[in-house]
Amino acid sequence: MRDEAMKPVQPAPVAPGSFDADERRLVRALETVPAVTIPADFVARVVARLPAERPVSLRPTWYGRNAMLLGAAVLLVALLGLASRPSSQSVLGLAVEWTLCAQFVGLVFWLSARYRNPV
Amino acid sequence: MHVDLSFEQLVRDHQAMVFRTLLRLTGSREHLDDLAQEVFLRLYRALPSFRGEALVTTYLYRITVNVVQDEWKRRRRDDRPLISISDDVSAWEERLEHPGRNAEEQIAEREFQMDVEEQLQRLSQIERTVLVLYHQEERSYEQIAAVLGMPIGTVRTHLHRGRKKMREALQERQTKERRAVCETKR
Repeated sequence: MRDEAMKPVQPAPVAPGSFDADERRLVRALETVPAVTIPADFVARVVARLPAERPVSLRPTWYGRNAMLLGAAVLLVALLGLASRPSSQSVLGLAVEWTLCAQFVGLVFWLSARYRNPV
Repeated sequence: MHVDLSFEQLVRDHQAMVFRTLLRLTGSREHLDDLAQEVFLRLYRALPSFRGEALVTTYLYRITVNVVQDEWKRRRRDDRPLISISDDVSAWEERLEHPGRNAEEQIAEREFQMDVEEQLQRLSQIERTVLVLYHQEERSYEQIAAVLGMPIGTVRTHLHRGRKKMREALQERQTKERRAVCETKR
């Protein structure tokens, strides 16, 4: 920092090697957070403008996800049930089993992709 | 008035972030208060459909960007010139004051900061937004992609392109200034 403070103020001619220095200076300027003055009554004014008829809850709902998990569980149970029966060796039984299996895999993929890392 | 107390807390927790993002994206302190109120009102209206898949901050950034886009459209309609951040009560100067630096350096740094602000406003909206979210707000590529609804690769492209444009513009300006100084010395 001391070296930096000792630098001459008059800008030096642009040299090819000064690219990094320019980039750093630009990034530093971009990272400088502007100071803002927030009115003391800002929150009160926002609240005063809210529509009165609708209370707000910040609690997120998970109805869709829960329904999906329930569906996946039901499918899994059905698959296990079908697998233990001798009727599952028939063409119809196999078709049902494969259909359920495909649905189960689809649900698991969808769930894992959707809820893996919320940003 | 029946308002969930947590909403008040939410406003309190995020007001500084909304104000500074709005300031950098609009480039003006004018109507900042009104715009910030609009952001929180939109958030309030949107909360019933908020399903917890994203963080509230991501949601809030998205709303802030939308409010800024509307403001830019309004300005274009009104055909009003931009008012620089530094035209009003400027806090940049205060922030740049540093006891260890001499006055000339502080002035040079202040001028550079103002140039950066000016060049930032000359970028496209999307480039400016990406630069502000990445550098000022320290959001990750993933978060910016989620806020703007675009692929991460596109975010990277806008970031590099925006920075390149700014660097070139600032270098060009510095070269012109140097030339002017040399001519006046002769």
